[in-house]
Amino acid sequence: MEYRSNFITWMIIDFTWSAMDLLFMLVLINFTQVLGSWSKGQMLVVLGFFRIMVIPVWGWLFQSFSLIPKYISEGMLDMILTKPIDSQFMVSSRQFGFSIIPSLFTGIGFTLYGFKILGMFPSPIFIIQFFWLAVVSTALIYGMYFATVACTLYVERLNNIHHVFTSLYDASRYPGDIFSPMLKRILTTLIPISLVIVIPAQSLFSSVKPFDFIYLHIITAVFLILSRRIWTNGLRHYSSASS
Amino acid sequence: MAVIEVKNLRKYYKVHQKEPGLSGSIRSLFHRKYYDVKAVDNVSFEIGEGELIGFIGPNGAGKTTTLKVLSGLLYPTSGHVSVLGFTPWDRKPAFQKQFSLVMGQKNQLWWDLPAIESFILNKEIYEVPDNKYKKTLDELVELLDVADILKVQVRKLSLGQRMKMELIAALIHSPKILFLDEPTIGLDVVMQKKMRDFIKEYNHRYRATIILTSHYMDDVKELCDRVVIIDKGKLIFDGLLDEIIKKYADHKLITVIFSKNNVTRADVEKLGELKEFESPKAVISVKRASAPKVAAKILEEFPVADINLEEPQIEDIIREVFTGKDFA
Amino acid sequence: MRKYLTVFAIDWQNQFIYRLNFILWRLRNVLRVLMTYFLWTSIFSSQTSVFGYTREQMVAYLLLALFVNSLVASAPSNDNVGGEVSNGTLNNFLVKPIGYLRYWFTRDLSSKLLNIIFAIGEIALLYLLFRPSLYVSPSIMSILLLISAVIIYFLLGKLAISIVFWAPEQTWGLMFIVLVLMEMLTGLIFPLDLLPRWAFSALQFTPFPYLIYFPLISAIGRPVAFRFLLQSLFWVAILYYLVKKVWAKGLKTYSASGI
Repeated sequence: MEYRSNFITWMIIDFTWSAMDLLFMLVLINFTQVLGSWSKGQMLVVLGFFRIMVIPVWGWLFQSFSLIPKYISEGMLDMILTKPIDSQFMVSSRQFGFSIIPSLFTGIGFTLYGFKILGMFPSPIFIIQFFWLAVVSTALIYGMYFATVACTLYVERLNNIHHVFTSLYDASRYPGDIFSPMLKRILTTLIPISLVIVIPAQSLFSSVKPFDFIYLHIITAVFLILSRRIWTNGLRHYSSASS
Repeated sequence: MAVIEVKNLRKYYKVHQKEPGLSGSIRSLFHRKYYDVKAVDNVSFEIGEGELIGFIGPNGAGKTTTLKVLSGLLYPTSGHVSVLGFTPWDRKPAFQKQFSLVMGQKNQLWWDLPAIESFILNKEIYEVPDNKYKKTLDELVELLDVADILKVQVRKLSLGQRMKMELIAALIHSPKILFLDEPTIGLDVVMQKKMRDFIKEYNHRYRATIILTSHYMDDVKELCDRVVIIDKGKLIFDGLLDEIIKKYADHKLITVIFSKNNVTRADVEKLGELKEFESPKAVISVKRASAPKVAAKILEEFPVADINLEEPQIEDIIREVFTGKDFA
Repeated sequence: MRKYLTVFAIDWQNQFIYRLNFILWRLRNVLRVLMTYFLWTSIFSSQTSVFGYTREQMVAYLLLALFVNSLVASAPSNDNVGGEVSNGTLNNFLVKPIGYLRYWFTRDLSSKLLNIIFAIGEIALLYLLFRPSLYVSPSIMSILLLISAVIIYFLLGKLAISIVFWAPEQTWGLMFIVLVLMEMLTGLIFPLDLLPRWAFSALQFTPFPYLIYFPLISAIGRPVAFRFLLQSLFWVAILYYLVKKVWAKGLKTYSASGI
């Protein structure tokens, strides 16, 4: 019951986000027919998926990771390290907020409306493929987010790194084409933010290029390994530095 | 002329009772049962200039609450309080410039900057003139021996060093009254002594009126002539420490753990007043003066694994005072 | 007065301690502008004007929005005040002859100054990269609107934070809601007059458009009717009154229950 009011607060926040997205959509729809290479309907499908993904990203990852700087500064991390469970698992599973239900509904709503505009609905095979890609993407987002958050182990007070990630992540709902070629390169390789939402969402209305498919898996694996490395190394650094 | 006057001070809190469990939470949404907590219950006393007084009592007795009222942090439920002629909870700047409140763990220093920056800030807040500031700072730095760490970031200081800096920050405006809440809590034995020495010296040098609260008997024994004992919000005793010690803390407790189980109750009762006996452990109460002799006797005549001499706990003293004679 | 100057000076020093973290904050702001810039450039590739705004004007609006945002919508006090009230550090201030809200306002100003300096540098950099045609004409009106905006933001934040006196677990949540609303409703992401008429009119009944939109369009040379300045000042007055009342009540509750 202690979390009851927190629950309601998050519901309101999430509802506000959905409303903001809707507002933004209205503005966009009124003034442009295409965004990058997407038509209106396609735009909506992608936005819908982005909304739904709020559930793992904000309901799970943000909730858990935002506590890490607090653990470090208040010394709770030491307690976690003494437990026999893997510390990465512990910090990743601290919290799950169930209150972002509005996003689930508005997300599905946007997506369905997009299909309506496109006059199509993906076949079951595509849907299954989509779900798998969504899972892989979630893992990739986890890897990227965790890698950035793990950096807070190295430097005192680096909590703003969360905000850097979230501002990058915000761009994941736009097609890579809108950026300058240089930036697009970066956002599809080094910091693959332009892939995580786009590839799974696109798979619902156009076929996925085999290269993209494979690449997504590879880069996800890379980031998962990389983030783990940064974390374990960081722990060593942290343990030797703390007083 | 009394510097602090307290008459019939009462501070009650309304706390709501929550039944345990989920059903209790739901019920508490609709119907809350409140009950009164009498944190301070009809307390009266007067304190003169330059006195060093100890407020003692068990945890939750109402000492900190009283201090908070005297410093203006809390509004009393009823009663009259006057400190230096002011009503504390009006929080007039003229009043605030003349006292200082130091509460155990609540830091006021800027964590990432050298302590001296915090001193300068307090100087400006209290509007201390430049030359007075310099003089006070030099004296305090000398008294606490911290000249070499003035420019070190506070977060890099040890707990002891930080405490010293907190003290300087609290005293930079030469307050006439100093409220110290549990000043030695969390400190090691060495630091505790240093803290007490400082308080005594400060009281002597500057004739500052000092009230300190503590639940350590040692703080009070070393520093205060006069003590006020508070328990469950009520003032139980207000007078010289000597009187209490003579009457109630005139004994010591000897705890013995025998190495063999063959010591009988009767044997131990011969040594002094038996407080506890559960073989192989026994606790006896003996007069202060004879404590060492009795201890020696035990070591000679009995098989001892461990022996300990202790002061009676302040809770015991207070319990005795409360249930025993009437001192008012 | 001198004491607040000292607070300013000390806070200024304090900001340089965690440099990397500060740089990351600036990076975050730059990223947001970049993303928005690309988004709108892409939208504009299919048409030359959107409801009276040309591409150049839109870009100018967005770049300057960065600047105005640094000036107006930044307040470390929002992060700190709730914590200080919950953990009792507020006591340290209540026993001293210094105003708590005034103290934090001063610290906020110090933070804003440093952020403005950096924002100017970043805008210069972005200007060199993208060469948008920028048209800036700061007028008395825009300056007054800006000052009003700074005060409104501070008061809004303290009003939201004040919930800590009655429901300490909610502080962060409420702050977050206000911040999220600010993103969209202040004109940071897009000029508010792009909204349907009814929405734009309705918004004027909230303090949000006066934080970024009005000061901003005034600064890029669009005429702002005097009544908008009055409306803005009206919000200053209302919020000031509310904050005073709510904080007085809150402090009384705090003093009565003594955390």
